[in-house]
Amino acid sequence: MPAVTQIVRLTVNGDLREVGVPMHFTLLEALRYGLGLTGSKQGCDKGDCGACTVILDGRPTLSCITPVFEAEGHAIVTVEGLADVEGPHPLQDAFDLHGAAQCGFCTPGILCSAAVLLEKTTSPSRTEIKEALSGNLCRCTGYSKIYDAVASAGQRLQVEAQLGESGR
Amino acid sequence: MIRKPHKDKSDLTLIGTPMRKIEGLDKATGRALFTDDIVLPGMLHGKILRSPHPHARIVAIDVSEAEALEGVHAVITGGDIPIKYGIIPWTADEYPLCIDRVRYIGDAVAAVAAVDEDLAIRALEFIHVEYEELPAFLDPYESLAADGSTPYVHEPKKEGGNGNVTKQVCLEFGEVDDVMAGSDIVVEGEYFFEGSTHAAIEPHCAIGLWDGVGKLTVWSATQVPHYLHRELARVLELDPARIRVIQPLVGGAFGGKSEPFDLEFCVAKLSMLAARPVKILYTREEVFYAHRGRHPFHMNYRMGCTEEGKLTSVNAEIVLDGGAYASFGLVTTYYAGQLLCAPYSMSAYRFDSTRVYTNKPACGPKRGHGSVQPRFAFEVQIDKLAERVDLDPFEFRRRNFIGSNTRTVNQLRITSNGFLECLESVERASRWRRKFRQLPFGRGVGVAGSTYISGTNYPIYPNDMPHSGVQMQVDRSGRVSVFSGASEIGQGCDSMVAYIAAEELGVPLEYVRVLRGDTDFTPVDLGAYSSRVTFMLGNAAIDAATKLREMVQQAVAGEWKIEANEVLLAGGIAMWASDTERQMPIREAFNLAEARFGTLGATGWYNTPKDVHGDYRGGTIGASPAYSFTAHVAEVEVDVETGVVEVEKIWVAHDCGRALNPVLVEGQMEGSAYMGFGEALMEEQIFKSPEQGRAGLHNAPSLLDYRIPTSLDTPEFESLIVESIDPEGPYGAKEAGEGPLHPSIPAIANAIYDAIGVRMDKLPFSPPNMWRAIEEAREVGALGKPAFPGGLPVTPEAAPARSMSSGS
Amino acid sequence: MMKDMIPGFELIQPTSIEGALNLLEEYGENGWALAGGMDSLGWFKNRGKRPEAVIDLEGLDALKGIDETADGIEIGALTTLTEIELNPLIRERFWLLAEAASKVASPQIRNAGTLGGNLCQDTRCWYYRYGVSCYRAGGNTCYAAAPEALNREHAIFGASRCVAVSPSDTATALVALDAEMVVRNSSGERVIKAENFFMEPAVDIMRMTVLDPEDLLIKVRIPNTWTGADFYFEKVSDRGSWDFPLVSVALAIKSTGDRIDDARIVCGAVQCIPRRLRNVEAMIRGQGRDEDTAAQAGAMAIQGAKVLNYNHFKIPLMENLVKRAVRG
Repeated sequence: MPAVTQIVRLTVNGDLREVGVPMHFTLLEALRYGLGLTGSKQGCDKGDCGACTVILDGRPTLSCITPVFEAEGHAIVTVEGLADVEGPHPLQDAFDLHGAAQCGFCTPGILCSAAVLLEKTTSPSRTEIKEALSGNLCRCTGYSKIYDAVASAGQRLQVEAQLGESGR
Repeated sequence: MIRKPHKDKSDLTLIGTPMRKIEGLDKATGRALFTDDIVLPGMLHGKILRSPHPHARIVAIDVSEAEALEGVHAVITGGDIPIKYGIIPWTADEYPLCIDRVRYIGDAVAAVAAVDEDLAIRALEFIHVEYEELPAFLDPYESLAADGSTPYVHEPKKEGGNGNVTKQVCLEFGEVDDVMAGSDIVVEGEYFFEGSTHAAIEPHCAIGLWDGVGKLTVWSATQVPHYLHRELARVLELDPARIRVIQPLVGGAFGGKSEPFDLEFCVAKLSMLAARPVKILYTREEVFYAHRGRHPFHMNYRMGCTEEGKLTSVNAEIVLDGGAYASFGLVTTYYAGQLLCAPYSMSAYRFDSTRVYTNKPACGPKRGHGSVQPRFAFEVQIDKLAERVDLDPFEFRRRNFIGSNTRTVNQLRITSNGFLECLESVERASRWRRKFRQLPFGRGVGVAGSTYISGTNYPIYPNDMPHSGVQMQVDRSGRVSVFSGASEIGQGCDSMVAYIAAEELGVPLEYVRVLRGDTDFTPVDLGAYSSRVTFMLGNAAIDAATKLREMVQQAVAGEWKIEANEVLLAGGIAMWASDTERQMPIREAFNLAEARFGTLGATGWYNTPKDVHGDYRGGTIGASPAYSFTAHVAEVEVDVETGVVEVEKIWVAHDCGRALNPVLVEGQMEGSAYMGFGEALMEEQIFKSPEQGRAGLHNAPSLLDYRIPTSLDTPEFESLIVESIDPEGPYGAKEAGEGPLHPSIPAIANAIYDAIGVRMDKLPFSPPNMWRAIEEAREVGALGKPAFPGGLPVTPEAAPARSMSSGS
Repeated sequence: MMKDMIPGFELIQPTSIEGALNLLEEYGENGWALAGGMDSLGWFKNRGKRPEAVIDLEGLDALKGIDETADGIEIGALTTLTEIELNPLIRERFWLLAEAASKVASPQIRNAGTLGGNLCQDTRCWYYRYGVSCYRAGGNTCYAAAPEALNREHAIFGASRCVAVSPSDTATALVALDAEMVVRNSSGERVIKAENFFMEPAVDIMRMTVLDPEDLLIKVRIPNTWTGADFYFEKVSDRGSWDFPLVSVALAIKSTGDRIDDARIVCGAVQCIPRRLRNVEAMIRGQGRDEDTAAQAGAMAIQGAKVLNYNHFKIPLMENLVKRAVRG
């Protein structure tokens, strides 16, 4: 017999969504299988790799070891929610420009961790970037290009903020 | 083959400049689709039941209870697919599901397809397998010594033979023993390279779709769709013309997806029985057991040199712990010796390499297949020899440089060779001369070099057809479509063909579409292994693009009444070389060509040189159209109070021939150096011995316990690209994806020696292992800064030899 | 083996502490109190633990937050490790705990993982985690103590049949800070010294803490006793992030001038409980805080250590960490 499902209400990327899933599903399973948001990846399914990282109430969170019921009532942002109508998030553009995504499988999780870092500061030191990404394994890049991308996205956000202020 | 000289850098518009990847933004936005992201209507989920025993006979399997469960659509066992598979045609030794014997913990026994993953997992509990346990071989030396009193891992090929031996290779070039005896200095060392695994972040995944009337489609996270295509047809006894293999983007592979796996056969068979699409996604634990990673190597090296530091004779004895199946092991056994004969010359060389079966998951190819382990031993040996003859290790390496356009002692043809430039680059960038033997106790620098192949001249199954093909067409809109069967696993090969198409046909990069990863519409490329793709696919793409370009040039030349070779295509326009004011949009040029020649398309291909190897059995193995060269310097800090080694920086210089896109080349160099660093410091793929609790059980099948480096561990890298412009590579390019891994490990080992005077001949250099070595050195008074070659250096930072400081 | 999806369970989400306590009593061994889930979900997915009911504590806001009291601070058991790491009060008075919390696992795990979860997590012994029938799992052998066993992570002190170690980073800090654990069940509340909170295998081999199935850790109290002291925390592990200690040390020390007045020193990952080094504390009291005292402290710390097959390195490592901590 297939598993019995219940309705869970999730606020994902600004949309309130209802999804029927078994209660033992993780947030990752609900996102991928329930809502078709396949950007968040399952790399280890045990909280050991960070590929499933999403932003929950502004904090990087491992969706593969977060029970779906714990995510109800919280704001969830996935990699699909980083871009807006203006275009890709500066981080996304910087990852593309700097070759920070090789196979791209860890990238969605890393972007979520990095996006939270840049919310806190747009001029993080290399050490701060390393600390912020220390819960995301990347097996392709050796991380260097990722640091470069995060730093340059931060610079762009700074410039945009200055332009925004002077424009006012 | 007559070759035109490569274009100069000044004639290239895109090649050699930093460019984005064509799928880069898809990957950064979550749009990129990997196999597990695909959901088909009515899709079932499959699971595989695996052996809990390292070695056992299957007495009986009862699947009736599982079959009876509501929601279970198919259950299969070994008898349903009774044909063996294997990547090397001569050593096919695996059934998709075991029939009468299991050979490692994790060997596949049965598979189910059910309406959801929960039920598929539950159904496995209703399959009853009766095993008769057999004594297991966990230690390679016990495997070697087996006398047949208990069942071998596999039946002997010859009556009375040892069925535990996959392959033995003993090759000798020159008079090794005589030359060794005449050497001024001989250094001998025992080395152990603990096995490691790929740990790509994407687990293996496959989907099978049987259309009910004879056509099978398989989606798979594979790096060898062509070989998968062949094996599916052979093992499932289907017409290959009715099989389609689709390769979505692959989330990392590193050699871990370079042969068929049980899940691909299972999804196909389950789909045929259930008449529904079936997906199987490995758990992370299954990935660790599927393995095919780096073989544990037990190595003995004896190497001689003259007083002047000229390498004379090299003798290697190697035992490879192969695990339960052959995988690529035949090749690994050769590579263990064949790939070591550059970048240094030697007058005599012998290797005796034996791969044995053990009751553990099969080992296979991991980035730097077969040559990372011996390179570790070899480059540490070089460091020891240099010290014995009182030479700076850079100088020792220079004195033995093999040169370009030459043959190695084992008759491999070397063409371009930028190794000296690599050495110079890292020596300068790391400020080696101010650091070597002069940093304070606890800090040190080490150097190592290496070479690697750019593909192999001979395919895995014997045939004379091209190794790589590309089809290209241009559209009336100005768009160029490239059909490529190459395997994009993150290295950027889809982008590479796009760069070439844009360069040759003069269109902006955004005008190029790459249609890829589908055996129904792409020409054959053999796969992403042996660092072959840039070299072979690149040449194939140039071939196709050149044919199209010449048609376009002719058409435009006809219109303008000029010579075809005076027509330039670049930046979205066609123009006259003599008067660049005369131009037309590329779209118009394409239209002229289509009007003149008909619908525009071309195929291009690449085949390897076949006459450039040694004339001996095995002489073709290791023969490559071109070799890359690498040198690293690593700088480390060793905390002798904790055993913690911190690698602060690795300078990586790599001769890639020509960097088609320097961003991607640097990415390969850094990723390779990172992976070697991880193996050096922390990675261990260990299986328990009977005495260690559960024989054959993986010690740490998770990404928490099998530690790969995090951002806080990984050193800084400085990538130094060296371009030797290979005569046969595309625009002069060679490989960059595997070579730069090799020197990381010995460079770190040599740096540790420079830091504290302790030789690390066994991997990994983790705190517990470091501690043992430090304690042993302390006991014999060897802990301390080694002496500077040729007496004290004349720099202010100079530290006296054997100056003890550790404070403990 | 080879499973990574959680089997079904009954989910119960109490809204009050009393409700949770009643449920814990009702379900006993078959219930599972779920906090951040960072360790729990691994157990569920591996099917090493298959509780009938999962009692989700997320709704119990009373268990969250950091409060100042008359004589110290109180930290709710559901407070996340990130909150502890960043809390100004803790950083100012009890830096030792903030530092220890910052060394736990990874940023994501600290964001969701709670203090209570970190203190109550099960041991990492891989034999046990794999699900072999060892003493701790109710069987009659210890695989990790076998002569040839792979036991580099295991105990050098206090082994009694089981040789597993305490993996918690915050536990060492809290014992050093002389914290107290407030534990409640449906029949009442009790307060336990942090030092006595962890369970030795000689007493009960199947538990890591004194908590019974019906007990809930409510909060942790840290008295002001060690406010203003010097602190030292160091954790040595294979990886720079996302790892458990091979050995760790937590020290709180008060000095007048160069003279040590008082100290509490605790090592992690050397025993099944955080190992408080009382003999070292007594010895260094009144001594100068210098190289000599440090060396003596290190030597004394390792007295009585017993090695297994692969963990010899822990003895010198522990000695050196204690030495560094005392040296400062």
